[in-house]
Amino acid sequence: MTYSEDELVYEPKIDSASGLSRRQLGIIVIGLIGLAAGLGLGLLYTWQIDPVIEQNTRPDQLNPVDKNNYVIAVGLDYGRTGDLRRAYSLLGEVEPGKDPFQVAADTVCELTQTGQVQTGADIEAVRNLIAIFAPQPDIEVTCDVVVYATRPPVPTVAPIATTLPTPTIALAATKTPTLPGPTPTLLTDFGPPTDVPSRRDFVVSQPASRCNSDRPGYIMVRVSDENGFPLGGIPVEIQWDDASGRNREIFWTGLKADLVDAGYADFKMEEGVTYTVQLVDRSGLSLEMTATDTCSSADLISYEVRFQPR
Amino acid sequence: MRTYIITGLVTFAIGLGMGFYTGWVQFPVEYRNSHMCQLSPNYQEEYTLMVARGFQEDGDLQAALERLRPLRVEGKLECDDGRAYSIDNIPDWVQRVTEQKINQGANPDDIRTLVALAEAMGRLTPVMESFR
Repeated sequence: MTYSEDELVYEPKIDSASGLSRRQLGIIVIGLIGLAAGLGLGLLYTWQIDPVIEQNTRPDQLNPVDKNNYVIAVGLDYGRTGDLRRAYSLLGEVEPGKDPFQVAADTVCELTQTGQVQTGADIEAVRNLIAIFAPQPDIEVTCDVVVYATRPPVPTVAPIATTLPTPTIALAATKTPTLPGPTPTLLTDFGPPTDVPSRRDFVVSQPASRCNSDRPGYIMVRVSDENGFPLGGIPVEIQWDDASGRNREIFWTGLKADLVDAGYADFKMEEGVTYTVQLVDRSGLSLEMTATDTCSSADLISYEVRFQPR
Repeated sequence: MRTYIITGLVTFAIGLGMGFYTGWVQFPVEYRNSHMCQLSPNYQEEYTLMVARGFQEDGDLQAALERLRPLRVEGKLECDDGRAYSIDNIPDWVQRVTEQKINQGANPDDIRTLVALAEAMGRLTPVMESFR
């Protein structure tokens, strides 16, 4: 008769309440250790070494920059459709658990405070976002959005019929044909007018060159009223030539109001390129400004151009 | 001794299996700070439609291209998630989404919006003609 090695081991009963033998206890302990080790290794492998490939990512999982892009797109969508319910739902997917209108407000503030609102299309997108959250109660706006409010937050087009003055009919004994009745004209309320002198000619100053190590290679535009107060929301057109031909771009004053003042705007030049600026429909072209590295620190030169009403 | 070894191996294997199931199926890694290129295809299409609506409103093609650019894979390793189509070329993507919506019989307004953007990008195809 042959015995296995285990059978030859003498196992005295343990006099304990559990009644388990030392061998059984050992098996349980080893079993638990094996289970824990296997589980730990399995989790290490699946969470660290070879995690599942990310698929079906939701907007709330995006990085902050792309979340902003997504919110801007919601603003664009709202600008076209005017569907507030849809905008609310889309914004809710960006920050679940947060008030979607607050998400729009926070995004607008972040965009404006970090100078990411550069082009006319950007401004339009921001206006659309403002239109989403502005009428909502209890929304905390931590930045100044007045500069963009050249249109009312919600376009309430309320036609008000007014009549022209009744034409005075000369009293004469002769028979005169009856004049047609008063012609009603529609006045549309587009909200409070912006504080911008309309159609007033501005004078452009001679560009003053600056060596600014903090902001090298910029055209810094300042627009003010006749009293020297900065004017925000003024479109500035910049033109330059390159290999692709004549280029033009429009940017607005007031987008960096937090950094300088409401009448300030700037444009980053490319080395060697010559630029001219003007206020759209309000001034003539400035003198040419060429981005050269004439500063002692080898930085590109910057220019400051001022516009003021005549 | 052999019993101990066998017990250890069997329970280790069971633990490993539980670990795999937990880590891959039950509680997989939840990603944060993802890129647009990793968005679910449905959200990518939705985003494209939203940008196309913005284009309809302002007519700024350059701005629309800039807004769609984040969808591109652009060699980001994270974006290689094994999906059949990866976005490398924005006009090609817009054309693809537009034709897909047409094939799916989506809302005609949405299709017209996308067709306008596709046309502006020089990607008007015969199937889109009737939605111009």
